[in-house]
This record gives sequence, structure tokens and C-alpha cells, in this order.
Amino acid sequence: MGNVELVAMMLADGRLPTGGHTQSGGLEPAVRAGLGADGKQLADVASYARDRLRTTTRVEAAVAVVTRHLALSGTNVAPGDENVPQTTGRLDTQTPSSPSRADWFGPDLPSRGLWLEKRGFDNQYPRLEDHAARRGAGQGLGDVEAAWAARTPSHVVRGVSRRQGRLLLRLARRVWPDVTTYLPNDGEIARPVVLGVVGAVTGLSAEQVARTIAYDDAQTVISASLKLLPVDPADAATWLAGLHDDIEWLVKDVAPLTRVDDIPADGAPLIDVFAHNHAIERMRLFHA
Amino acid sequence: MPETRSFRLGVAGPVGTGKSSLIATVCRELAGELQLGVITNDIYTDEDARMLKAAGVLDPERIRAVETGACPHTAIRDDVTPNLIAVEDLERDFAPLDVVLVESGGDNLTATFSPALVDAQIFVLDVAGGGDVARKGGPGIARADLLIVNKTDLAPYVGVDVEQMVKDAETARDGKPVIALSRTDPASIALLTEWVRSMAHAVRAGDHTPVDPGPMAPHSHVGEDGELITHTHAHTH
Repeated sequence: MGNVELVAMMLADGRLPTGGHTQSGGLEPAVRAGLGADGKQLADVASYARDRLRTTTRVEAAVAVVTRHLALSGTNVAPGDENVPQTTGRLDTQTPSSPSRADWFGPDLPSRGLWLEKRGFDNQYPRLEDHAARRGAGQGLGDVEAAWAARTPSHVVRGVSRRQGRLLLRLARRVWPDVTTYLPNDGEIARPVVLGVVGAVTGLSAEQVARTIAYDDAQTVISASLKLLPVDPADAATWLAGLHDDIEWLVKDVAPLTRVDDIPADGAPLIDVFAHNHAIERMRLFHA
Repeated sequence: MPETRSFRLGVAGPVGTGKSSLIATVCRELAGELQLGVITNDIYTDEDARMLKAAGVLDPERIRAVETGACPHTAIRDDVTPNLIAVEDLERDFAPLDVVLVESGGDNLTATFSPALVDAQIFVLDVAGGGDVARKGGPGIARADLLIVNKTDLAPYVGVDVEQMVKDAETARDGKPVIALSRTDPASIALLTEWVRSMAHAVRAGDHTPVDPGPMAPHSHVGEDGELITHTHAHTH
């Protein structure tokens, strides 16, 4: 298994080949919408990263922590969750290509069924629950994924997380093959769920899992700022150091969570709007 | 090799040397006989993917763009995961594909594909970039499976001796193939398509082992005993 501190370092290292270089944590569309005021308010970057820690990233970290807990506790839905509504556990994932403008701005909002049908979502990837049933492990993880999806209203943001989750899963099955006890070999699964499973099989604590999610998100935003705004790299590192208290606050907040129902539901609607703008933007450096 | 696994062919080279145009040419010439797919790695836009779609040489659904976060080098070498998944999805969605062409974002002379991503790679130079580029060498020039000296029809306008440039390239490549290409010269296009055909055949037959051109250019230094040592592999001194 190795040293768990080193595992946590590997997971937080942008050089880990999981496609991190394609992500800006939503900073690119935010800059396009005026964040940073063309370089005149660079400290906006740190504020943006902090806003994420308090909203969307808090949800992601909680999802990873609960996933880790469920994987470690015999994979059944945790006590108290018996009444969780039966979700399909389906990974309705994958945006094979950026949806066209018409999909979003058409006269009628497409129903979920229409989306699934139109986008060919069916059966491209194994479902978490199917996999769990076959392997006798990982049950309940589909519920966590569904809870995460319910708290992530933008299908663009969900698509991005699931793509990044797939990239992490691809690496994890080579580096930490025990993840396949809980997860299929390939599949578009929310990144925090994949990371939670990696944490479970490598012995990371709930705090380490939460800290990895929080640090990675903040570092993604701040390092992307170097490519998007006239930022002094030393300033960027200073901003990141300045976020340590926020990160640790998040860690203390979500690490004790064990039940799907306890996962917070903070949102940041503007981040979702920016993400949707970005998905149809032609000139872009980052995937999201 | 699984049935759905295609021959994955990388196309690298500096900005503006004609990578997209070369891919359009290959598609135009071979789409009738081979099942093709294309992955583009644009730096700042989906311009390449759009250009290829607009060229009408291939079903637009078979052309997909991967973002590189302004790191084209990383995308084809240090972290090929997003590209690998794009290739595999294309192979799954249009199975069976014979060839998937992966276009690198235009980069510098040291940018080459990892053998974890492609089975073989083409490195593209053009005469307009200067006649001395081939002589300067570099991993792509020296050790890509095929070197293209592109836009030879422009040579008279930019004062480049194509024959000399090709000769320099052949010297740098130790006999590996070089094609002087112009999209207005059908004979040169025939050489290119024949190379793609035969490489696809070799890969399918299992007769080809991917070679890493490596990030290091061949270079020499004087050893302890005063003899001249030439390396072509990555190493530490």
C-alpha cells in the first residue's frame, strides 16, 4: 500500500497524468465574463477559488468523503440511509461533444428523457450498481453518485466531472488496481466518487480525501490564472497559501460525514452559467 | 490487438507547417478504402477540427477536438490520457476503424508523441520555415517514422533548395523515409498515401513496434578516453 502521505501527495500533484492540464476550474469562462478586470483586479482569482471552496468544492469533498466511508464500511448504504429513494444509479453521463446552442436555447427545454435519448447516453458505460452487484462490492456508491448529480444541477459541470473521473479511474486501475473491486474498469463516474474509492483502497483518512479535493480545486484555479491573466507566479503561490485556512475549514467541516443525506447542497449558479457559456465557446484554452 | 483497435497515427510538427492540410489530404485520398477517424489537439480554438469538417473529406462526427490547456506538448507526451480516451471513444463509436489520425497542436521541434498514444508518427516541416531546419535536427526530424518536407511548390518563392533540404533530412534520419510533399503534386501525394497504407498494414499484422523519437536530439560529446560518443537515447551525463 505504501505511505499514505505519499499517496495523498501523488493525488494532489498536477503532474499525475489524469488530464489536469486541461482544466481551469471554471476560471477561463469567469475571466471571459470579467473576473480579474483585464488584469486590474488580480486578487479576484483568490476570491473565486475561495468561493468554490465554500460552495461547489465543499459538495465534491463531501461526496468523496462519504464515498470513502461507504467503500470502507462493507459497501452497504450506511445506517440511516435505508430510506434513500431508489435511484437508478445510472450514469447518465458523457457529453460526447459540446451540445449545440440549439440544445440550450431552443423553444422548449428538453426533458431528461429526451436528453438521454438524444445524446445516446444508453449503455455506453457500465453502471456503478451493475458493477457492484456483479462484484458484491461498491453497493451504495451509485446512490452517492446520484446524490452528487442531484447537487450538481448543470449537465455541463456534471459532464466535466465525469470525464475527469474517467481519466482518474483509468490511471487508478493501473496504479491502485484494488479500485476495480468497487468501480468498473472504465466509466464516466463523478471524479469525487472515484477519488473517494482511491482514498478507501489506499488507506487515506477522510481528512486526507477532503483536503486532496479542496487543494486540487484551488490549485487548478490558481495555476490556470497564470495562463489567463498577467499573474506573477509568486503571487499565485501566495494566494494558494492564503487559502490554507479555508481549505482546512472545509476539511474539518466535511470529514466527519458518513451518510449520503448529510452531503451539503451548496451551489454557485454563476459558475454553472459560465460553464454553459464555455461549452459553446470556440476560443478556449481549457476544457472547463 | 483487439478488433476495434485502429492504427493510431500521430502527426506532429511546428505551427503552420501543414499538419491539418496533410490530414485532409490523407482523408481525401484514403476515405474510400480505409475507415478513418481524426482527433485534433488545438491550442486555442477548434479551428483545426472545423477546417477539417468544412473540407468535407470525412464525416464530421469522425473528427473530434481535444483541449490541451495551452500545453500541446503535455497532451501528446507527458499526459496522454485525454487523447487516449478520445481515440478509444472514436474507435468504439465507429468500430471498426482502420486508422485514427491524431494531430498535435503546433509546437516546437522537440514535441513528439509518446508511444503510449500512437503506433507511428509523422513529423511535418515546410520549406517556408527555412531550408536549414532539417539540418538542425531534433527528435521528430531525426526519428519520426516519416518526415514530410511540405509545401515544396513554395520553394521558389522562399529561396529554398528542396533537394538539399531533403538530402539534409535524409542525413539526419539515417535512411528513414522523407517525402517532399506538395498538395499540387499528385506523385508526392501518392507516396504519402502509400506510406500510410503500408504502415497500417504493418501495424495490423503486428510487424511494427512503436518507436519513441524521444525528447533528446542525437548529440555527441567527448568521452573519458577522448573518443567521440554519439547518443540518440535519453540519458544522463
